[in-house]
Amino acid sequence: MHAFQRYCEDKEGGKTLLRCVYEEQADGLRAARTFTEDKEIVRLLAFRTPPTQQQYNFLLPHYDVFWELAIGEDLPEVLPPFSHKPHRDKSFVLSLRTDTCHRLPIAAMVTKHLAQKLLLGAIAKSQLQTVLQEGLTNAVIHGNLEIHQRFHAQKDFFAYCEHVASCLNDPMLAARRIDVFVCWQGDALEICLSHVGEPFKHSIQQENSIYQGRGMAVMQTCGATVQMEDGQKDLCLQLNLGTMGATSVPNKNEALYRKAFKKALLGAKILLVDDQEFNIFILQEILDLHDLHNVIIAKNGQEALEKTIQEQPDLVIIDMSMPVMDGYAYCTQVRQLPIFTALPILALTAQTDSEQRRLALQVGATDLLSKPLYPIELFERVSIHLEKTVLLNSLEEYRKNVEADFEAARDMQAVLMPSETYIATITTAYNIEIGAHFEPSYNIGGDFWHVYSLDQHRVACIMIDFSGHGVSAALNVFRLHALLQNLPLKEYTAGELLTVLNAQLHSLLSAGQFATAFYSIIDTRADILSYAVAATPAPLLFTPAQQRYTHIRGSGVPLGVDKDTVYPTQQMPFYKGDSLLLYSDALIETPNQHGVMITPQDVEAAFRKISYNSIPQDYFATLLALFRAHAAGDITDDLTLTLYSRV
Amino acid sequence: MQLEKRIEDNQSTITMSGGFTFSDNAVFRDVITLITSKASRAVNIDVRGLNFIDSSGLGMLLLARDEAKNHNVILTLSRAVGQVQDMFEVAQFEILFAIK
Repeated sequence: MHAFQRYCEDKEGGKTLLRCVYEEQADGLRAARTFTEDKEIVRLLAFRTPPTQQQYNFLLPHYDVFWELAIGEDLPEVLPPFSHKPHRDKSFVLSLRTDTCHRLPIAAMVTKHLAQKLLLGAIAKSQLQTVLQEGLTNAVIHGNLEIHQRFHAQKDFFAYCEHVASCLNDPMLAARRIDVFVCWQGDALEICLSHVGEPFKHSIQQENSIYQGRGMAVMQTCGATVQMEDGQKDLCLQLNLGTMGATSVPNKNEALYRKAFKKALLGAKILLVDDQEFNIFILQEILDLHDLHNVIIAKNGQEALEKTIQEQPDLVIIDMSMPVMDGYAYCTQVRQLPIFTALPILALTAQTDSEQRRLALQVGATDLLSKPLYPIELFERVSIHLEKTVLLNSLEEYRKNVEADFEAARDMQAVLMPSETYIATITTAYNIEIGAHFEPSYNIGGDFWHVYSLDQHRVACIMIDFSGHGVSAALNVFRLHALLQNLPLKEYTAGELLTVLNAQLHSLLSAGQFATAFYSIIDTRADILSYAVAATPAPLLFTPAQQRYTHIRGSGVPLGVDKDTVYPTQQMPFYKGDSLLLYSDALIETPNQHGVMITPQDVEAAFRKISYNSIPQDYFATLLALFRAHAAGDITDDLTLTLYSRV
Repeated sequence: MQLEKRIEDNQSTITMSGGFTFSDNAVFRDVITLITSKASRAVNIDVRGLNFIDSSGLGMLLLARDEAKNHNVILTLSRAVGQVQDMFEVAQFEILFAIK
């Protein structure tokens, strides 16, 4: 026997809990019974053929279709046309044999069917099909056929395929079932894929192979929230249609949050203000009943104001009409104190007096409670407003923590780049002026630049831009820094360094991460610039005296993509007075408000306008001014500019 | 998935159409065999006719890339469309493959 239960939205928009039980009969037929909370609503034998009209009508309110697909049967043909029966399009159930599920393009069929019903657009359709395909493949192979994930070893891919085929030849395994349950509300689809085999064991360590474990990532990229719990036979997917790439908040946090909220709620300090002792007594009784014991009492507005300042309550319940100082005056005065602008104040007013209620909100009451009091309502309101406070506080705390972390990370990253003192020593030793500007798009970024002294007459300059920005890119910068520290830079030519760096990064970076790089060695004795390139934006070499500009070709395979790439060393003359400009792609790929981008030629044109005997700082200032005038708003990629001038 | 092969010394072309998922592994094995046999110096896989690919399909194309590299065969992909193009983008295939 196999059972599952799900919520199903009914015609009026309410939710009904449905419980379905399948029983395997001796002759291979299957019984399916469906229950609501109090009664059995559907009971039928599983079909080898589509249900009769009568049986079908019986199923109408809850399911579109529920039967066993016969071998070789094509799904779209057996699915009845639904378009003219709009009230039934809230859920969809399909029960399939393992081998049917493997052999037929079920994901495509189900998607086509749902797309017609829900009028899905092309993007949502492709999202849904992708997610379903991954989910079903998972249910067939790892669910019903119980094939361990370790079979995904890289070299044995086809052996693994053969193993799958031989499992499907086992009649017992092939006749297992996968139940597809789809129900939707608004833009979200809930998909549950239930299998028969062993429950999921998810704690298995994944081996380092590019042929495995991509399914989950693909589903998540398509905007699906995936729940696959240890010891369960269900894979639950939630898909928000039309939000390719979006992800939802995982439900796991919900339980943690409930716990935190409960704790905060029970400890909450509540100030009750009323001149009528009996009213206070009633309020206190109701709160006591819900374990809210931390209560302070005031008899009028004046007393309440003093206690609010002294005790700083989490919530105030106040009667609006009182002697000495009424509730309106209290609210007006409390709201003038900055620390109490968000304090929840529940105003007690007479239900019938609409003017009183309007005025209460006007002076700053958060919510209204009407007399006579209903215990449930009182507790619910108190609870809602306390929850709001808890949420706001935890959000604020989270924001502060994240900001503090980023602050620390930014400081750590800043230390990796050359300091001003360090730059000054290089300038003095080699007569090379260096201008540098580093601006991450988030607090931290994936750009890195440095200059190293190799020997008495040679200096090395490196500029690297990791794919992506933010935390992951920044972590790669730290890795790179560690790698560079351990390499004997002076023994390598420019090309050799990039070749070595590439091989090392290839083993470190995960699939899809890479870096563009430019590494050069300035030889001040031989007047030569030797360099190697890995897909970097074209560096600009210029000789102001002759107004000659050279755009160095920036192509080449990015670092970390292919472990065997060899990077050649190239050479250019580099005399006194010459300058080399290196920049990350943000300079030329940030569009202005008209969508136009700066080109290397624009940079050249800006430089040509400056007098040829300008000092290097002028060039750098010109470049920054050009970029600032161009990109007025926030930049979306990390920007690094470095200018090396021989003086 | 349907697969057609045109084998020549210099450049073989494989045309794939339909959906490319795990269950097509037996069909795709032919492509691997073609590459490892070194029957031609270059192989182009034409994926313009594919309308769907899953993670196993992507995995098999990567397998072909590795075998091509091991056997000094030049492997290229033609530009994909629709869902296949999206998946190529997600998996950064434009960096891993030469795409014509």
